[in-house]
Amino acid sequence: MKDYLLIMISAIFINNVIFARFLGLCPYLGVSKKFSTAWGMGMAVTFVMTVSTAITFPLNRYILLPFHIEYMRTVMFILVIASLVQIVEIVLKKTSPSLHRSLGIYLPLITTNCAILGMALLAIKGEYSFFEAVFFAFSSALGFTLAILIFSGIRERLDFANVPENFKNVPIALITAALLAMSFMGFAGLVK
Amino acid sequence: MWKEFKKGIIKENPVLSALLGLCPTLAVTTTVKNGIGMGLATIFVLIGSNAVISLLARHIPSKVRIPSYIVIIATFVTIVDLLVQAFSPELNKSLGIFIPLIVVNCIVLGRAEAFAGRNRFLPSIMDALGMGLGFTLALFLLSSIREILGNGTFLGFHVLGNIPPILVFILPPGAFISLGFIIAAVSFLSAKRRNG
Amino acid sequence: MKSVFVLTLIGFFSALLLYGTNKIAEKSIEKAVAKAKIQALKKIFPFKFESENISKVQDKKGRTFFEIKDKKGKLKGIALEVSGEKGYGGKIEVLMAVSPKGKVFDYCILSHNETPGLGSKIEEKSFRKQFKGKDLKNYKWKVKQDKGDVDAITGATISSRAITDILENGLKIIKFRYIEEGKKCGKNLKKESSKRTRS
Repeated sequence: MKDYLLIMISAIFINNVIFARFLGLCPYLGVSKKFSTAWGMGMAVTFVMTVSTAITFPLNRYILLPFHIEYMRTVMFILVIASLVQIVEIVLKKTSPSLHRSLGIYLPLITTNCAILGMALLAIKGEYSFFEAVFFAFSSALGFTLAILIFSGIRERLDFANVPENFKNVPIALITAALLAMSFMGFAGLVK
Repeated sequence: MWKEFKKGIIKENPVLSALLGLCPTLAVTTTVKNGIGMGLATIFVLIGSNAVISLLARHIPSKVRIPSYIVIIATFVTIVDLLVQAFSPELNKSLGIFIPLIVVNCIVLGRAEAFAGRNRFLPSIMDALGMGLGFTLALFLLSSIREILGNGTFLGFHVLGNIPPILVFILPPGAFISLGFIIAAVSFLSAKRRNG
Repeated sequence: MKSVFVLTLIGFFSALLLYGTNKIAEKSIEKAVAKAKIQALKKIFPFKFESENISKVQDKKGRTFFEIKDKKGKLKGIALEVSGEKGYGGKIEVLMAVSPKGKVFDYCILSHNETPGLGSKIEEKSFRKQFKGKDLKNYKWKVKQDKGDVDAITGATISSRAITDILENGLKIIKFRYIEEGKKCGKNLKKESSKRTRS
């Protein structure tokens, strides 16, 4: 039990997907303008990240490694992810068309979200069991969601602030991310 | 032909203008060596995938267009991954998972979709080369700032003498701030060009 | 069903191309990994040797030891990979070089997650050199703050403690395998000698 708690705290705060690992930046900067879209994106990413790791982890352990075809890893992993995102898109279109519309092009872009493939690759690196790996992916996705929510909240306010012309939009978003990253650095050493 | 090559370097620079490929840009630019290494690996993938896709695009049904492109790109990414492991293990160690992550670098799929899918072989290669060089240029710029200010070195050579480096630049916050300022500067310069 | 056919065809060619590339690159990759290992080993021993003088052995627990012998087959040094989880950022993996009598030659850090500029100083010569020539008997393996002999890095006590523990553990493993096991004493005598060396 303690192990799982450690995995979760480490994944969300100490090694945050965005602020420490630099993964998932495109959607982070692209979708975080409104709190509601950020929330939807966070949920979609959490689902895809968790399920894709649940599929790629056994794929790696029971097929890629025993047959010594590790070189097919990138191709297979990304195909799993792409298919998953396609399925999510179809399901979302039928169950919640409004969310589907607001996520727009960013939904298929989850496929190229480096965080999904990145976490799948990291999950097979550490000496995790299947459940620990999936939990690790899930927690990291929560960290992503947390980061994107905080960020969108700040950005909604930034819209009313007096930002210099050349810094508007992306530069100020990056500098805000810098400050958030700095504050998250304070969590280092939390787990002894 | 020259036009296809030139546009990727400044005007339509994938990182500084289109804001694509940010994850590797921020993650691997702790040293100039890493930045250039990543740039070269990406150029390899870009040229390979753009070339193949420009040749095959006509025969690929629209329904499986994206998955097909992805498999082709992933193949070239794996090839470059194996080559780096074999011939530059230290680069492999410093770039880590970001080599396989080239497959999800929006620049690669972006150019495949936007250009290689609907143009001929030679122009596609020029496009790939230009975009790849533009990407490498952005990486070079960011990693130079980060390595000089954050580590006091440039390509491993000490350049700041006795002045202690500002550590934060090789850490995540430094990456974000540096890129933010670079993009703001680019915006300033291009606005000046338009008005001036 | 042209779609499925085309995709499968592309997938097939991709697998073929990658299989071929892998076959070609395999040998080079193996060589590169071995070369890196040998280079790392060469850096931590104070004497010169070639790859022929290195023999890799494994104990019952699956631990790997690199024994360096001279031309006559005499043991000149042992290298061992040890790790610990108590670093500030988690796991630290170390390759340490020890003399056959159990004295530290040097070490290098294989991987760590310590704070750059602070805890990462455990890699630097200025910190490493204090351990040269120290063994379990003539040195107190704790940081000065804990009444030991180790000069910790200012502002990185946790990293310093972690590496100290890892090195001490490594010495104990070497001692158990090369010094104590080598003695042809009975069980009781062995217990006696380990009691003596511990104080």
